[in-house]
Amino acid sequence: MKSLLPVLTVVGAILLVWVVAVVPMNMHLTADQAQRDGLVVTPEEPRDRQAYSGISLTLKNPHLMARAYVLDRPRLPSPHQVVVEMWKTIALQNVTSRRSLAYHGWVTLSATLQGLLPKAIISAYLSFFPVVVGMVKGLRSPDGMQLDLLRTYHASPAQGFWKLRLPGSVPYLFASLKIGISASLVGAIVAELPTGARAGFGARMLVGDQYGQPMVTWAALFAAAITAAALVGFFGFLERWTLRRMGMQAA
Amino acid sequence: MTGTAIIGALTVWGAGWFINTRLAASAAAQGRLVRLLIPAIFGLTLLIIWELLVRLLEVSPVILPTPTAIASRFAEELPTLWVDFEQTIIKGAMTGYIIGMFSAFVVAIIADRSVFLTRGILPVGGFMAALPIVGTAPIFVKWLGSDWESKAAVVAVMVFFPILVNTVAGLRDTTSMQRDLMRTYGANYWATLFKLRLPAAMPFIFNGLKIATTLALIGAIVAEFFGSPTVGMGFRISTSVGQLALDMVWAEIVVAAIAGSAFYGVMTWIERWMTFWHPSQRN
Repeated sequence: MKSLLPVLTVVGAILLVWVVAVVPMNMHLTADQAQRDGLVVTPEEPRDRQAYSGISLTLKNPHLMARAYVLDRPRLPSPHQVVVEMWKTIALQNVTSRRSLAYHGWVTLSATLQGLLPKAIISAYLSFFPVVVGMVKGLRSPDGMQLDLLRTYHASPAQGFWKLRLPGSVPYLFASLKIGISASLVGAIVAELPTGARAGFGARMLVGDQYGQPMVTWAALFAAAITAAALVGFFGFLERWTLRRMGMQAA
Repeated sequence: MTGTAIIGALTVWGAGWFINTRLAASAAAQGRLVRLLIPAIFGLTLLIIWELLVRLLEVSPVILPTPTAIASRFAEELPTLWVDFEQTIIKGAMTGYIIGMFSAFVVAIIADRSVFLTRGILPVGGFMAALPIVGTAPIFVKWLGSDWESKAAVVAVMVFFPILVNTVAGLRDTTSMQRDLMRTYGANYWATLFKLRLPAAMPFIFNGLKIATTLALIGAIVAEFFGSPTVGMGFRISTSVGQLALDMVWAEIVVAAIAGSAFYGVMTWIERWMTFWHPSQRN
């Protein structure tokens, strides 16, 4: 809990940068829209506006700043727009609907977690090596002292494996499981991109990109981030619980 | 046919195994040559089995081309592959990697001046490093156009967080004893940073840099799926799949694998050269 305040500060700073960046990033689009709506924009010609950067155009038209946050198809949506889009596509849609992000999330997640579909093979491959390397490192982690102690107990190699080396590898296993699960999710999302998949986070991002719907891309991006966070958090919880049960301190 | 294929594959596997166990048990096993030979024989065995199974089972080249087909395609298309390599790896991945690396160093050193910031950045950065940042590729392509600049931006964001987290963690890795010693020498902040804390952080920093090498290649290739000029490894992969030229796809995969291993190897080599004093590098 000691780090709650610093973490909130850093997250707040990132959000602040984002909110501030929305105005210059969207200013050209906002100015075009405002002119169509009959407002006064200070270089009159759209062509002249291209010569200005987002920041200097903002300084010339400070009265348009508020409008940059409510564009339909922004270059950079503001945080509240992303939240609203996610709320609309997750909570207000039927879960089985094609428009529901929960449905697309389920498609990606099932590819991440199980191992039968082609996408799942990529996910499985990506999480395979981190776990192998971590487990081997963990199985070799007991030092000479501990191995010697078992030898003085006249323990067989099998007993040494079950009672010392396998338990000793558990912290390493969890560390690599957390790396593996996020790699798997990335793999599943990437695998959906070039294959013309119709459902899943990756397909959603591609659809938003190709049909000029930035909000769809952004919502899919954040939903994927939340999914990754939930998966890593779940393994973190499992790690702490297991290590406490085994009498080891969580790393 | 299936029977001969399986028997043939098992025979090759057995032969490779036999040679390798003999080599590993022989007196020369500690020699440099044999230690390189053993993984080489293992790889060769896999390739021969691949070739054998694909030929005998008459697998369509659209499903899986033979290693020899891939190798001949590789040799034929060397100029194309080189242009793609330049576009994706040199311009996209390397530029992004260097930008991401230096911005991570700068942010880490700034954050390191305050305990409060360090405590905030470590968990947030660790969390961000686990997120599927490749997803930002379509956004960056829209912002920066489809040439290599957008790929470099995706790569920079992807490599930023692992390097940042590792650098911040590494800068905290000095004991109070060591810092006190520097203080008794009358060293100021910068002298302590360059002579004690940065060298001590090097093993951590290289850990992050090595993780980031693979991320850089993934980012540069995947970002090309969202729009690219008519050159580049990601572009070539997606168009060759469309033409069912799977041997070309595999040739690009070979390039990516060689580039990735070389990049990682160079980083490991620099690490060994710079952190020769660390226990993990001593023999």
